[in-house]
Amino acid sequence: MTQLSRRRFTSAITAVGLAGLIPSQLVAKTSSAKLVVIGGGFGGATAARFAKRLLPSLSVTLVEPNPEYVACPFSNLVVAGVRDLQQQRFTYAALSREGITVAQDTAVEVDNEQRTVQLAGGASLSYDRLILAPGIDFRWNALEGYDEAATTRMPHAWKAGPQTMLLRDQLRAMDNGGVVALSVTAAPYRCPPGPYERASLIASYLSQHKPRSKIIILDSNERFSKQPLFLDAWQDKYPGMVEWRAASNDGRVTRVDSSSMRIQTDFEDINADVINIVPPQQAGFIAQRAGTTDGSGWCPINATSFESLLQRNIHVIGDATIAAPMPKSAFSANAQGKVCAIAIVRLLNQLEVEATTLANTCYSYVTPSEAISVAGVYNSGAGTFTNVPNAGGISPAQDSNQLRKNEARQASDWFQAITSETFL
Amino acid sequence: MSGQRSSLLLMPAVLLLASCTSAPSPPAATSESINLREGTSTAATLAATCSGCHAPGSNGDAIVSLDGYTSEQIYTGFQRYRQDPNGATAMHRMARGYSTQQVQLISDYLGQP
Repeated sequence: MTQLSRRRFTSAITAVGLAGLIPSQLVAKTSSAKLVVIGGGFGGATAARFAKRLLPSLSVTLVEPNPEYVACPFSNLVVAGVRDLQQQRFTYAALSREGITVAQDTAVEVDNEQRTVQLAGGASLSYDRLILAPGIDFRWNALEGYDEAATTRMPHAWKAGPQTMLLRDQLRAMDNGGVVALSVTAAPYRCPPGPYERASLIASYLSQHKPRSKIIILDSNERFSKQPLFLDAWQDKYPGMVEWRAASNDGRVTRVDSSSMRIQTDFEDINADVINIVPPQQAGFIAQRAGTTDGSGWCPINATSFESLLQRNIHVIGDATIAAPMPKSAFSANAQGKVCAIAIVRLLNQLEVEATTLANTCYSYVTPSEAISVAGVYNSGAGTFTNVPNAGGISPAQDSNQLRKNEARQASDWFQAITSETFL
Repeated sequence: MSGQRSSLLLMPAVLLLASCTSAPSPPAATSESINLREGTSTAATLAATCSGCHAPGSNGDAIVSLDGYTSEQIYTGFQRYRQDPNGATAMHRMARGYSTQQVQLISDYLGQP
């Protein structure tokens, strides 16, 4: 792994001048400081790495139940059969090599009075600062009939892994002329453009292998990310194949029955051959146990420090947070992980945390070789995120194949870069 | 920056610190303080977002790695993205959200002298 930055010789010397002003006991005091990070995704793994690199004497423990991470970005390409799930897998070996203790265990309780994290395996970890990066949990039965058992017939594939393969295999097994239904929960949910990218790539697969089939998107929302670009792409590339129903157009799914493979909207019963549910979501379980969630099920934070508004010394990053207008994306989580690590290291050294500017970008494939993007720039001052005006937005509407092909190549490079920074 | 280069840089830094502080600190704490001051600076925090696409060591051809670029080159490139009204890439759309002062800080931080 390369260094945090390519530091300039001259600025290193300048920094020494400043460093001379830091009382030596200050650094000594933080030497025994303990940081625990719960969750080894794009947010948590990045935060652990950056904190350790910024403050090598800091004790950093990453708690993550899975021995490897299966990345969600690009997993829609796996669903469409044009990418191997193996390319989505990453281990924590590089983090271990850098001196981070990787505890393969599940955090089951947080006692913020005692500043301890209880692990399912019985161990207890103490912390000075705690980062929660638990991602999302599904709210089983919040959509009537959709519980954990139902996922074996109606996959969500909204956490990558076996569910991704199940959805891919169901599409492969479906007859030509079959109907695929994709139910999208009301925002906020992980990866706002994800359902529509998925519909695009499923349509791409169907148009090649089962051209008489259809995909219907039953949406609990009135509008969606990159909407005009997706609608254009569907019309242009998959005419007649993709139907999108807004919530007000009877798109809202109210009940599912996995045994009969039926879903209900307000006014209709729909049978489909493959049913993919993007379920209602909330912050990962441990965020609730730690007392960091509000009535919405998500975590309010101070955008400048990422510290929970409900629990001191606990910071929350990534999908679990209420960070709008920053979306719940891998890019956001990764950027937040770095800024949060900087904030914590500063706090441990009695330095004030500074407001900054962060950005996000999300690429979505509309075919396996063409992509579109959305970007945003956000200020983190005054404790909340605000859009920087006259910046960000979606790819140009003009239908230039070259533009879409270039963005697909950029997407691929982005995936390489972000996974390398987080895991390799 | 390679590990070798890093250690070369820190050598004179350690010497300088030893001469300008009244209470000598152990070398480990010294390099840690430097890292801490620089790594958590305003510029470092601003630049943190960049490596989400331009990670050191990444070798894409559609998104370039910033390895080996000078501060001036990064500054010039960034400004070109900021100011091109017809720019269509995600970078163009993001660049427009940064001030000239921020671009300068980021370029100085990420670039070689």
